Amino acid sequence: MKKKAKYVLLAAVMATDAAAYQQGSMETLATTVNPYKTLKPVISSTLPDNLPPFTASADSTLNRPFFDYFSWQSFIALAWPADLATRGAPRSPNKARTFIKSYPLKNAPSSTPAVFMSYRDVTQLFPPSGVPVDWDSSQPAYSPCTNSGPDTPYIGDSVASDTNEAGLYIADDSPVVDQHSNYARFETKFNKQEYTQVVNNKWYVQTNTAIALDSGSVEIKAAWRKMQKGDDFSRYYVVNMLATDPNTPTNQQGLCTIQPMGLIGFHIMHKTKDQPQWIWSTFEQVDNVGFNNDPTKPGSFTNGNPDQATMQNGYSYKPAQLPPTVENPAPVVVYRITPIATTPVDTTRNFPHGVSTAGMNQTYRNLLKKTIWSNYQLVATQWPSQPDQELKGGVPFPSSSVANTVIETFGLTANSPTCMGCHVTAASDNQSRDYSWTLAIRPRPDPAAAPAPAVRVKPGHN
Amino acid sequence: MSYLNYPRLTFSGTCIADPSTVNNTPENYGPDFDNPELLWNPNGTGNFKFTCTVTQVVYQDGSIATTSAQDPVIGMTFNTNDTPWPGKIVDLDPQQPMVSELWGVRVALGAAGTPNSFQGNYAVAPFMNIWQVWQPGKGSSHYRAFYQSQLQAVSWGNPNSRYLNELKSVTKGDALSIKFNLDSFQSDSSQEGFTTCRIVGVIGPVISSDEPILFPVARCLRPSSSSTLNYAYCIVDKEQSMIALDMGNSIGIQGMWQASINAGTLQLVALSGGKQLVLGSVDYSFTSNDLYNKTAYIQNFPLSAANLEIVQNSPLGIVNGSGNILLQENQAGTYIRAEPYVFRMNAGETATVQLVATQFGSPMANTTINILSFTDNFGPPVADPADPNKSNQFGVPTEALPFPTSVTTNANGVASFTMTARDPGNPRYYLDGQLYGMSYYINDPNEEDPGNSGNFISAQVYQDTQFSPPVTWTNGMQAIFNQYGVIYPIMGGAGSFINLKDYTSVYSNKDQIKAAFTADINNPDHMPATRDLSKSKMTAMVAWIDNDCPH
Repeated sequence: MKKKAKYVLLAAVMATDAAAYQQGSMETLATTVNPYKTLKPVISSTLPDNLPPFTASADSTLNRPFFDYFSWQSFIALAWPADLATRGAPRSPNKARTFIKSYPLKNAPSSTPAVFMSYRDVTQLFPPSGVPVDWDSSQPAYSPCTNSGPDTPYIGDSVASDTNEAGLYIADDSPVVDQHSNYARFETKFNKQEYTQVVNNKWYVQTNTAIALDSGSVEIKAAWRKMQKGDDFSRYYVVNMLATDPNTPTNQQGLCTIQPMGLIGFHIMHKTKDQPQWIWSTFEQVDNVGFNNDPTKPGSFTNGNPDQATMQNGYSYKPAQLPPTVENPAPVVVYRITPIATTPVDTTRNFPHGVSTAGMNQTYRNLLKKTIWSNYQLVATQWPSQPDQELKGGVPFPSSSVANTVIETFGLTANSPTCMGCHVTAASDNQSRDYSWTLAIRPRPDPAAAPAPAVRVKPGHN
Repeated sequence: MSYLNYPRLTFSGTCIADPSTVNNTPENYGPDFDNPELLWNPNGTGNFKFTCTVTQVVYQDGSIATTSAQDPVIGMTFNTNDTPWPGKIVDLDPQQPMVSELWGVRVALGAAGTPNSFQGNYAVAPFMNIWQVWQPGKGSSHYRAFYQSQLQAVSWGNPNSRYLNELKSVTKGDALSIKFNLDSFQSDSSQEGFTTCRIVGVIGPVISSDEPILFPVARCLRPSSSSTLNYAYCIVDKEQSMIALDMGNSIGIQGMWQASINAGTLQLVALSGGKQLVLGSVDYSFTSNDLYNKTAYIQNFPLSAANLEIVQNSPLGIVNGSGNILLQENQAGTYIRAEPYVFRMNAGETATVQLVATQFGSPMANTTINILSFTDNFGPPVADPADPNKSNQFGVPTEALPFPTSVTTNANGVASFTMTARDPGNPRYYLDGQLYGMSYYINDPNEEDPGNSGNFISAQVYQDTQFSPPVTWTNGMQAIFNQYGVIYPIMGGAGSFINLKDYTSVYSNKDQIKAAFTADINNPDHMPATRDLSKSKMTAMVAWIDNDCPH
C-alpha cells in the first residue's frame, strides 16, 4: 500500500507539472517548471514497457530526456544478471546489490550472463531445418558452431558470428576492423514475446509476410570484439563466448573457438504501445573512439589521432566484404562525426549533469560506477515523434546523426542514414516485416513446400 | 601531350564495374514499367573501383625500371579510393549507353601520408573504342574499351622515388594524364568474380595546361573494314626522334584474362610514295600477359633523321607479315576530336564544344570543320504508346539544341562553338527529353568514322517539366520516385535498404535523399547515381522535401 501511495503522489506531481507545462511558453517553462524532475535513474531489472508519463512538446528535442531515460533503464534491465533457470528472466529482480556484485571492475572475463544473452538468437529463429525450437524448449537449438554442445565452457546462447555491419547490406556492407586487426562481430537476439510470436505465426517462413508484431517486442543487436592481452578487461563486459571463424558465411556452420569477447556496441529496438514504429536505442563502450584512461592506449577503433581532415566521413576506409577474410586487415580508424546530444540543458536533482543525452550518460555512469557497465554510454535514442502520422513513419526524430561507431561505422556521415530511415523500408509494401530487417532477410523457404524453379535473367546485354 | 610522353608508369590489376542493367531497356521506362526486363545485373550499384599494382616505369631518358630495387614505386598499389563511396559508372541515356562515363572516381598511389604517394580525382570521361576483343565471348565479357582522362587536384607525398620526382617535375600544375584498358568483364552472375574485369593502364605527364583531357593530340591509325585490329594512336616526338605507339586496345585476346592472339608479325610502317617504310616491329605476346601488364602495349620506335622527316608528312600504318594494311591514317593524315563529347543539358544551359584538328599530328590551322546532325548510333527507338506504328525520332526539335554548320580552326588547330539548350518537350514519349548528336568532318562526312561512339558528340537535353501546384507525393513526385525504384531495384526491390516506391520510406529518409540530390554532381554520393535527373525535376523534388513532403 505504501508503494502504491507513492506512485499516486508521483502521478499527482507530474499531472501538476504537465498542466503548467502546457500552459506556459517554452521560454518560461525552463525557469518555472522542470518537466524532467520526475525522472529518477535506478538500478532496476524491470524492462520498461512504455515511457514515463509526460506531456509532449512540439519541439522534439525537449522530449528527448524521456526517451533517453527509457533507453538507459532498458539497458540496465537487459544487462541484468540472467536467471539461468528461466530464459529471458532476471536473477534476483530489482536487487541492485546483485547487479553490482555480479559485474565487478575486474580485469578478467565475467562469469555472469546478462539477460540479453539468454534471449534467443537469430540463428535459432531461422535454423536450416526451417522450424525453430520453442522459447522454453530444453532441446538443443541450432547453432552456427559445429562444435557447440553442453560441455562447451561458454556462457549464454550468444555466438559471435556475423561480420558485416548492419545497413546498406546490398549496396556496400563491410566489416569493421579493430586496432588489433580483428573483425568486430555482431549478433541479433529476440525477447520472448517477439520470438514466440514469430514462431507461433510461422513468420520464419519466407512467404509469410504482412508481419505485425505486438507491442512489447524487443530485438537486440550486440557488437563484440576479441579482447587480447594488454586490453583492460575491467572496462568492458567481457565473456568467454563461442565465435565462428570470420570466413564462415552467414547461415552456415563452422568450427568455433571460445574467445574472450568484449561488448562494444548495443542496440535495443522496442515496440511499445504508444510507439508502433518502435523506440530505437544505441549504446557504445566509451573507449570505442576514445582513450582507455591512458593516452598510450587508444580505444578499440581509434589510433588516438584520427586524421579528420583527410577522412571525409567518420571512418578511414571500408574493408572488403567478407568472406573471404583478409589476413591481418588494416584497422579502421573511426571518429564520432557528430557529437552526442548536449541539449536540453536543464538539470534536476536526479540529473545534476543535465538531462541531455551527454548529461544523462554522466549520471548513469556514475550510478553504475562500481560495475563494468559504467563504461558504456548512450549515443542516441530515435523515436517516432508523431506516431499517429503513419504515412510519415511516425516522423522519426532525430532525422540524422545517430550512427553508432561500431554497429554503423560506415553510416558516420554528415547526413547519416538513421535506424528508422533504414528499418522503415523493412516495413514498406515490398517487405511488410514491421521494421525488422532480420524478419525480412533471414526467413527460409517453407520446409513443407516443393522447391521453386530456378529464376534466370537474360545474359549478354550490356 | 599525354600519357604517351615520358616519364610513364604502367599499372595492372582488377576492376569492378557494377552497373545496374534495368535502365538498359528503354521500354522499362514505359510499357514494361510493371514488368521490366532485368538483364544480367538488375541489382547493380553503379560502383566502379579497381585495385592495381605498379608494374613498370619509364624515365625521362627512356630507361626502364621493373623492380622495387630499381625504383620503390614498382609494386606499389594504385587503387581507387572507395571511401566514403566508390565512383560510379554511368550511362548517358537508355538510348545512348555507349558512352558510359566514370563519375566521382578518386585514385591513390600508395598510402596517403607516405612519401611515395599521390592522390587525385579522375576527371569525368566516357569509354572509347569498344570492340569485341575475343570470340566467341559471352555477354559483355568479350569487349574491351579504354578510358582516357586526367587525374586532377593531385596531391603528392614527398617522394624519394626517381620516377615520381621526374613525373612531379614534368607535369603541368596538379594534373596527370591517365589511360586504361578494360576487358575480361565477368557478366555471368553464376561465375566467380561477377562484375570484375581486367585493367591495364598508364599514367604520364600533362605537358600543356590546355591540352585535351579525353584524347591525346596524336595520330589516329584506323582499322580497315576487314581488319582484325582496333584503333591505335601514336605521337611523333621530334625532340627524342621517336614514335610512341599505343596498341593497348588494338590486338585481340585469346579469352578472358588471357594473352593476345597470335596476330603474326605486325609492323609499324610509313606509307610513303606507294611504299611501306618499315619503322619497326610491334611487340606483343601471345604466350603470356607479362609484356602487356608491364607496357600496356605502348612502345617506342626510334627514328633516324631521314625517317623522322618522312613520318611527319606520310600516313602511318600497321601491316602484317604479308604487307596487308590493318590500321592506317587517312591519306591526308587528318584527325579531328571533340572535347567534351558527352553532354547533359537543361533548358537555358550552355555548353562549349572544342574541336581539335591535326594533320600528321600537327595543328591544322584555319581549317573549316563541318558539323552535321548525326543520330545513327542512338537507339533502339521506342514505339509511340498511342500509335505502335510510330517510333521516336532523335535530334528533334532541332531548335532545342541549335549548333553551327561549320567552324574554323585557329592557329592551334582548335575551333569551338557554344550550344544553348531549350526545352525539347517529350518527343520520346516516356523517356525524358531528347538525344542530340553531331558529327564533324572536313571533306567526307564519314572520314572521322562517326559510327564509333567516341567520334561524335552526344547530348542529352532534358525536358523542362512543369508541375502543377500543389506538388505532392500523388501529384508529381510519386511518378518520379517510383520510376527510380523500378529502374534501380536496390532502391525499390525486395531487400532494398530504401524503397523509393514507398512514401513512408522516402519520408523517413528525406534528409539523406535531399543531401544526395544536392551534392555536387562530381561527388560519388550524388543521387541519382545515374546523373539522369533533369534540373526541373530535381528542383521540384528538393522543394517538395523542404515542404515536408506533402502526401
